[in-house]
Amino acid sequence: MSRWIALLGALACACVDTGGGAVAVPLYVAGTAQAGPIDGKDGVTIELARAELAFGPLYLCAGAQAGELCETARLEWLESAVVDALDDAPREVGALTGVTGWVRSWMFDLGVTSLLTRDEPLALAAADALDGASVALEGVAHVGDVALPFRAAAPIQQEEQTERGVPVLRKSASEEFEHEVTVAEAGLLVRFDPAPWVAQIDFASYLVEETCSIDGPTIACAGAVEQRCAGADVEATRDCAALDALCLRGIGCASELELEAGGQGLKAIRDQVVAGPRPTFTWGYEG
Amino acid sequence: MLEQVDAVYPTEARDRGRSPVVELNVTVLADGSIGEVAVHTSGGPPFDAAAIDAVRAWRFEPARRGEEAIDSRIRVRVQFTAPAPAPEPEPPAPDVDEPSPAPPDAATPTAEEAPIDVTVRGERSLRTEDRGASSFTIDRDLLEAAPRQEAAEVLRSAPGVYIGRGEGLAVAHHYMLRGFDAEHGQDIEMRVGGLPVNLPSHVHGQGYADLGFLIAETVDELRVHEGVYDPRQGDFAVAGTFDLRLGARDRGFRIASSYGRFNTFRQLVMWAPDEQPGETFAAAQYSRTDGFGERRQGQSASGVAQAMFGETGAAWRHRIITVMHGARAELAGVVRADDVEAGVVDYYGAYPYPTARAQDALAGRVMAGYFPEYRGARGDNAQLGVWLGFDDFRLQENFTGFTQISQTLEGVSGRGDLIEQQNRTFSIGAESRYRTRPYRPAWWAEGTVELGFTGRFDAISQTQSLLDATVRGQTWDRRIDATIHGADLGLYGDLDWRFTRYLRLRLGMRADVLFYDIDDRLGNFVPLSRPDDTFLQGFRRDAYGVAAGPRTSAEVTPLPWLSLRVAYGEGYRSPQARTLDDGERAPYTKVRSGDLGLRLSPGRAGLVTVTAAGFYTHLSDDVVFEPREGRLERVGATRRLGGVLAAEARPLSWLIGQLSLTYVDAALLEPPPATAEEPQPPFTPGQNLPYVPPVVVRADLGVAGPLARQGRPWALSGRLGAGFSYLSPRPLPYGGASDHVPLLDVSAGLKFGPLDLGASVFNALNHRYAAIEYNFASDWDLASPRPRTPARHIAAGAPLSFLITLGVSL
Amino acid sequence: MRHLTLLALALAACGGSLGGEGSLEVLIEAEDVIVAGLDPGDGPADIRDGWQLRFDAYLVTVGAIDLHQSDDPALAAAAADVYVIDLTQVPSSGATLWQLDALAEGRWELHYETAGAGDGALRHDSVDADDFARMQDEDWTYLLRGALRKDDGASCPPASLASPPATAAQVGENAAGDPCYENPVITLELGAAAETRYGPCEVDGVPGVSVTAGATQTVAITIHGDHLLFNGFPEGGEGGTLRLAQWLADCDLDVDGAVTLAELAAIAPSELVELDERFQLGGSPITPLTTMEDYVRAQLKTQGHFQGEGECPADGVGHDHG
Repeated sequence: MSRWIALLGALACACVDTGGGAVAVPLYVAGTAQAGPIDGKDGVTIELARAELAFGPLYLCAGAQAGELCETARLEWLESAVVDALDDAPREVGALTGVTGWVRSWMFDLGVTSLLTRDEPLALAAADALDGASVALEGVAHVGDVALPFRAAAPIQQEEQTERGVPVLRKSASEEFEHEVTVAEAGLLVRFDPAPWVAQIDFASYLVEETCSIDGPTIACAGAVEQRCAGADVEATRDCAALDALCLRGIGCASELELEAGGQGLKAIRDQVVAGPRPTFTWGYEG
Repeated sequence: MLEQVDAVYPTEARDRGRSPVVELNVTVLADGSIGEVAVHTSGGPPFDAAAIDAVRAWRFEPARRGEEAIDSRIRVRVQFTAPAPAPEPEPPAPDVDEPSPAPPDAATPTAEEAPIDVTVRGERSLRTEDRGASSFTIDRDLLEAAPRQEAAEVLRSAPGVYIGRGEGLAVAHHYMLRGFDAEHGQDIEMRVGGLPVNLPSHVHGQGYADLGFLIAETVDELRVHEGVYDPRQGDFAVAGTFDLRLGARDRGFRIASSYGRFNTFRQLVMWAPDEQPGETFAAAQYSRTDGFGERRQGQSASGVAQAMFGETGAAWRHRIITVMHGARAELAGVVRADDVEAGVVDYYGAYPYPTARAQDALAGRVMAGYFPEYRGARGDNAQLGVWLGFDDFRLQENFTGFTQISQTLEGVSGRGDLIEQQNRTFSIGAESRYRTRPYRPAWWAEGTVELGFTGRFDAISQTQSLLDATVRGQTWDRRIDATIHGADLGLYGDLDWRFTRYLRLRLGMRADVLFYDIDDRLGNFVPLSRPDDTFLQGFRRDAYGVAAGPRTSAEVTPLPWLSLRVAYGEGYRSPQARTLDDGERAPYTKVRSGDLGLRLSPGRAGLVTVTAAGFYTHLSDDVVFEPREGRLERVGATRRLGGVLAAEARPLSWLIGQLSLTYVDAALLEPPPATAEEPQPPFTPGQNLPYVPPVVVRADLGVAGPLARQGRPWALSGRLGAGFSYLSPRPLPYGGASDHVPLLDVSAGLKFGPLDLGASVFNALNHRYAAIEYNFASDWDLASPRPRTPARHIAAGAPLSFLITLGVSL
Repeated sequence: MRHLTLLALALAACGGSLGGEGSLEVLIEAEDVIVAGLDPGDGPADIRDGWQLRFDAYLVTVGAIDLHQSDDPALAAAAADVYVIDLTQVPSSGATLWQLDALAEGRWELHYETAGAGDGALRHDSVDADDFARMQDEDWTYLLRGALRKDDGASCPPASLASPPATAAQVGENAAGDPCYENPVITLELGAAAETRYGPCEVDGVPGVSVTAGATQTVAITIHGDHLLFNGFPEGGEGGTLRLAQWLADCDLDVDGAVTLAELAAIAPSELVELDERFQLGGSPITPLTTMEDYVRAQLKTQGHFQGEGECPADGVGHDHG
């Protein structure tokens, strides 16, 4: 009996085609090795020593716009991985799974994903590996003849006032992204270039020479001398050079600049990561 | 009738003083002798035996087609009259389907009478409904051959039909009919006892038809008209029509209790007065079950009563019918196949969240109808009908987990997609038709003309909301809040003409006027972020449409046992009213249906009937179920091309069997409409329609007969039955296919006098199968990123179960 | 038999009227916020940071209606005219600009464009000749003229870019330490090229428009007037979106009470402290967002809607089911 049933099933199955099919597409990520110093804002050049990005999850959608208009995606990768954005070599991080067909938009998160079921976004493994950050950068900015080592790390996520339940980055209308995914698809390579992320940071503003003034900062730098200010009065001074450090406006003596939340530096990184030049997507990549 | 032998009132029953009626299906052979005799309406074993004994001795003038005598089947009614207190037996008055001029002298065992032309009157159908090659009438003996867990499962015996239960006892079955996944009834017109069952613009699906009220013991005959070739077929007759006739063949009282696996219990009470026609009965049933897995507990109760007034053959007969039904059931909902595989949730389980544990449904319905019929002296006839119904439906179901965002409350999301649907429909309808006496303008031409109308008015109120199960069913979003008034007035004409004995043509035309008045209280919805102080929310509109098309068929009968049929018809399905714009010409779905086939019935009447037919159905725009919003969405034009092979045989008086195989290729002809999410829906010409099984097989086998000599008061009889349904893998949206479904049900029973004992086993192969299977995106994991690609979801079908029934019939 | 003949004729007549042709009027509708403006407040539709916005002119270049029948994608119709129209002057009943006749009965998929005015756009009566000429010369899609008002309003342009007049009254500083200057009324004159093709449009998940034989159906293109002040680029539902205007006030670099295109073009989004984490730029339809002019253009590209709140994806694919 069961043999007959199986035969019937096989016969009926053979001629069924709904015009779609399950597919798994290997996903590779890569960075961009920087050939030389990166041109930054106001003539500053930057050398990056570390540029890591928490990437994922990633969704590819049928419609031209992702976001809420992509309730059903074609392909998805629900995990996360740390991308070394300075490493040219592609690395396989998993597979996009879903169904075949045209994809026209993408959206992804940076290791921290907003869920409809909770107020706080969920940090995934990649963000955990970066201590909760989506992006971690280290390098040296050359402002004139001053070499300013810097470090930055920040989560980039949906906030209370922004959208909930959709990834933070989406393909824009000005980008080209259209591909028909078939079962024969070799792979998708997503390549990030970290250069734009640091290009808008106003490093020079940390090296402004000034003395205490009524409307000035609480910590001013007169050359390498740190001044702690109470209005126009100088409360204390310290020679940073003697400490083998730099004097940074608003910070004082420090061996490196750690970009703080709410400051222009992290905002510039965030704006450039989410709305600056986008990663490139290369289909047919075979590893 | 040439010779008639009166039945003898059984002596053993004399002291009980009953006057039952026994109706027999009798095959009159071409030589006038009696072939097979089967009990149609029982008066109890001794009376049945007495009636059979008498009728076997009768001789008839055979029916003729032209000059040629042919086998025919007639229904014979034998009325027993209780003997007077005097000890002498009083013989009954036999009656052949029409009033005999006078009852034969009871004292005369043999009466010479004027021949009775049994082919002209009596139980002759008032009109021909059997038009296409794929029209099937399934008699009670076949319906009761295989066991049925529920009455609606009798439909499985029709070729190309499959029904399943995926959403518990209180939600309509899932119907499939030759290439149509009719969901809850959108593609199949259903009538029970003349009452229309489909509910237009129902919130849970267009044409929603819940047959949960049916009581198996009262289903007398099932007529399945596949295709749309009869102008009487109206809204939702897309794949065809299920027409269930009700009646009770076993007269008297019956009480039966059943108990089985999963703590399933069923109680039936039924009575059918002895002296009344087979259509007259009342029955009530209650059933409950703990269900075969988590959250599958359910209860239902229904009562059906029908009475036929007027003598058989009288000019006017009047039938009234009432139906009441109520059911409530828990729902397990669907589970993701990958979660089952990973052991996150059991195949027969439900997700642990409150939003999944709050899934349930309630259904209630009351219907009543009055259907007088007229038989004119010259062969003309008419039928009238008025009916009304009220249906209440409420469902809480979560297909997608946690993917919804409130549109009305700021910053509220992810409270569980527990969709509550409420639908209340009040319906009132009327119908009337008149068929003329046969006209015979020439010796080679004879026929009738029929005119008729059907009309219904529905007042529907419906809501759809999102509920938060963790906070006592708090409403956290509203999606639908509407009142719809709709009417459908259908007008038709039909010619039914025979040209010589070889050709019969039926030409019909039907037009339906549809109109809708929609009060959509959430229309022109204002999102939170937009100024809402310049107008009031709501969108009221009305729409009107006309659906018209021919219904034609031709039958060629080169040999008495061979009939070739070709048919073409155009039908319609009304639109879901809420999708209409103001002034829109109601865009009903146009159905074009063609059938070509033959039917062979060699040998004596009823011995074997073989049907082979091919069919083609084209829909101007079809719909497919969209689980995310729990509604049907347009997909564009579709076609079905297929064939059916069916055979039904009664080789021996105690053996009945049937086998059918339906194959269909259901394909999408044009791309579905572009949407914001799918601006260019994937489409390859000829791609298969989702959810439609290409192959459906059904087999029924029944063995029933006396185990000891009949006629004794405590006669012993037995029966065995089996039913097998097979559904091939169904293609799913986004590719892939569901598993196949082979279901074998078997039963055995013994009847000893008034007592009967039966045992049934359902899904005897214990095949693990999904009652429904979908592909869509859901999120049931609260600690991971939201999946958005389509995933396989299933609602388990029942594993092996058994039911033991003990009954008493008096 | 005579009755039957009559019936057959009647039925044939009914059947004959099916599948005819109808017309479609497409009008443009000014959303209430364009005519009435936006007020400060805490309501979901208010500007949350205390500014009031009024428009004096709201010119948009719109048209190129493109229809495809849902049942038969090969059946197409178009009203190619593109108009420059001032939405503040459109009567509340809307302005009917396009008429499509002889459309087969059924449901049609609808697309339209907000185009550049330089390529043969027509002037609507509501637009004066000078503005029209300017729109054409610049090939603009939008020209918005209006004013932001706030009694204690101030502009806090990024210090590195600010050039306030010596007379400007400083009233504190913002979170980045940029000085703020009293500026209670700030006029806007923003011309922008934001060419966008919208479609397929749908309302409540029901795609397109229905055409009824022998009748004229009316549908409206709706331009939402307030996306400029949104705190992101939401798609689908706009629920929960905030309207904020301080960033725009801060773009008045010379603190002259007027924000100009040149000023917007001189500011990078990262330089505006007000554009903080309350804003989500990741859904911008224009990338990279290098200046605030890009940002304004990106916001304007999301404004096209249909029948009020109906959705039309922006810059989707053309209709080709190949």
